[in-house]
Amino acid sequence: MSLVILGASANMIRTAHQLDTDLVIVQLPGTASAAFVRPEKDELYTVDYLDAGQLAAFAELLRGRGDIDGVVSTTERGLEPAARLVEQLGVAGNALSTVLASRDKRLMRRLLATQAPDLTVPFAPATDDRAVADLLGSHPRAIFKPAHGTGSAGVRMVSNIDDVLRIPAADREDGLVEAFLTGVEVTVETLSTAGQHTVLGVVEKWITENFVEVGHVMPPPSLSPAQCERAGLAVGRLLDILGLTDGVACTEVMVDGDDVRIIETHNRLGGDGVADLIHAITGLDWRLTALGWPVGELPERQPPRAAAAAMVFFVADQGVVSSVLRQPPELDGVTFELWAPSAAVGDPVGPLRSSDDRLGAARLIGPDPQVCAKALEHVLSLNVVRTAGG
Amino acid sequence: MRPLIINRHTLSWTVGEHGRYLPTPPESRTLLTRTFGGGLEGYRSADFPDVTICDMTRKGHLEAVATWLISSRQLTHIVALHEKEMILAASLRERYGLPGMTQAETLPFRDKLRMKDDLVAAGYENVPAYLPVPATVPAAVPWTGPTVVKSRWGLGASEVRVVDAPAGIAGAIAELNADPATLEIEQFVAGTMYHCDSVVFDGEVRFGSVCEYLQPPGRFAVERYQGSVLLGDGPVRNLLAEHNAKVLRGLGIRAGVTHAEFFLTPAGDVVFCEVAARPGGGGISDIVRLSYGVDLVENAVHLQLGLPPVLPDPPDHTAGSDVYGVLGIFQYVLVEDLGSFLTSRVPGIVSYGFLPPELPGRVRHATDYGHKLILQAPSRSEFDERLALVLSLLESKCRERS
Repeated sequence: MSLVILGASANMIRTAHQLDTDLVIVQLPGTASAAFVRPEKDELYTVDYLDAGQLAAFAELLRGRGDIDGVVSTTERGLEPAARLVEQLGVAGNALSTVLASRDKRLMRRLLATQAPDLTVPFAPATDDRAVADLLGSHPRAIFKPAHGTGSAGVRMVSNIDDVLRIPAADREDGLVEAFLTGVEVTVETLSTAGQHTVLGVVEKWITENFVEVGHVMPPPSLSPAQCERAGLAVGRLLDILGLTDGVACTEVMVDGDDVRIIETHNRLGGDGVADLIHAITGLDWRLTALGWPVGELPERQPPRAAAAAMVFFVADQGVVSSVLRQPPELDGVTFELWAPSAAVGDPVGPLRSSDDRLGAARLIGPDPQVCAKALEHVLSLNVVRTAGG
Repeated sequence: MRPLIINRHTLSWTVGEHGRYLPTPPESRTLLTRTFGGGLEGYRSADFPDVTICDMTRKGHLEAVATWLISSRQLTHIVALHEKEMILAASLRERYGLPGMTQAETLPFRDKLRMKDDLVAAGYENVPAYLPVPATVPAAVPWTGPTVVKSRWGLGASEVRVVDAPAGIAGAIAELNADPATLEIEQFVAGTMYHCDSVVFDGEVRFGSVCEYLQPPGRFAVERYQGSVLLGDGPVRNLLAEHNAKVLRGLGIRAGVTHAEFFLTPAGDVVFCEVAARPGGGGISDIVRLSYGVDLVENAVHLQLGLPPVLPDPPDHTAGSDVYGVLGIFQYVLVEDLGSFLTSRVPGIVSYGFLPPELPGRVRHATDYGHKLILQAPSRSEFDERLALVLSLLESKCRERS
């Protein structure tokens, strides 16, 4: 029995070693590291799986092995290649049609518009000037986003057609403009089994004006249990429409009173340490779940560590790092499980454009979401990484 | 040049430290290796960003992976230094029109029956009496004395049995658990065993060394150690070098590194044993490099890449005055590091390496060493004294542990 894993980080491979299966570790050129290969258990292949021809040839090689049971990707870029391998090998994993519909936000919006209009928002392809102008005529604030984007990269607010036309044509080619949503933005993490969707966590986001996520709190301090349940039901409807019957998914939704709107979804676990929040609160190893489901291995839950938990990401103004707070503050009721600024004094800091521009993270647990949210706000106010000369 | 390196040895042995044997930038190299046996020892992704690690024990899988690598990356050469990959590499070269030894050129260096047939056909007379194993096990053989039953494709003396009389041949075949068509039988030759290690280019031996085996390789299952000591200039060396050149000419190799084995009988006759188109294992390349400044493995890599050999310029193939030898103590004799114990008591130990067993069981072949020791001495007699001292220390350590 072997599980193919595309593009996994060292941490994910170490996690996968807990599974009772051999691994076929597949890495993009220049990223492979033999350090993670267990003797006589794992194999490692360097494959440009973003190239269709290379992927097809690799699928033929895997087919010849005859012992592949599942394929999984833990990164966005590997989702579509993983689905293609699933189809070519006829093994467990997410269907290509599901992945294509979830990766292309335009396609997802079209499906929702016809099958669940109450869950979506008006949108227009960014290359369709007339449709964009019409959208902006009825929605004074809108969002431009890459149809296949991740990590907030390339997302920006637009309020008129000139804002859109200023976006480079190449970016607009793969972009869409959609009505701006207001409310509380949360991520819903789900595990699906034979079409039954289980919500493992609802996580509230803290987002900068550049749409970069700087905090997550679970459970969401701004939502009632009923709102969380509505969010979960909405995500279940979305996953049914997309045809996702098995595996994990990470879906972003906006909740405004009783209204729930889908922002986007991915058939992988959420990033940003959300898996650690789920583990803290539910006792479920979410990473291991995301890796093991294609081969039928779901971990036992451990006792939860807390009732609420939060991730907070350090950011700083553009400039040069002048100081870094190396120890977490003493705060009543919360325990810091992680405190890891990634910047050092003297490092240059550029503009905050995406998640990649953040400067480290902390994780804390506490007795309830409000306490965790307050602690998160406090940490953000500390300017853990300070810069000068921006 | 975009070579595929198929590695089944310790990685740094095959490619040199950080791949220095390969005259290609890292991004032009494709490495196919394994985890077992040091296949990743010293690996850095900067040296081999394109790496595949596969299970080489699965029948057909290695070929499938190598085929995929060659075709998906338009590779231009194959470097394969292990005996097990010689035919595979040759067949892949032919399939993809790559330069290097073909199957027809490689077979005489793999098939121990074919190599003797070819040598006889080439007029080389110092081949032992031999036969393929017929469908019906023979009741008699056309020679006197013991008979060797061995695999035509074996390596490291691992599939060899010696029987005193023809009546024992059937039992040996059964013990080897092999298709009789893959076996041969030959007359047992009594004598001292030697090996000649050569660099061949343009069909000529450009460098050659001669070593005496410390034990016959076939006795690995019953002995504690094995090894070789380099011979200095002299009649024995010259005689064996002459036979080595005849054998290599007879088999028609154009370019490559070879490892040929011969017997020297008490009567002074040289008898061919077998030959391979690869560097000898078990530390032979270490002692040749120390003595001559010639790196057999680097030469093998260069010649498989179609490059000229890497030999001292101007050619000086005379050994230094010191005598070098390698002593391998087999796995499981003593599973503990003997480095400080030996080096503090024996002069002339150039290097010592402890290789803990990776597999349970027993010693598997003639270079399945748990300890590898390079020994240097100013003369052969002093080398023998130092070797005797190592062996007596080993004996005392074994007694102490038992």
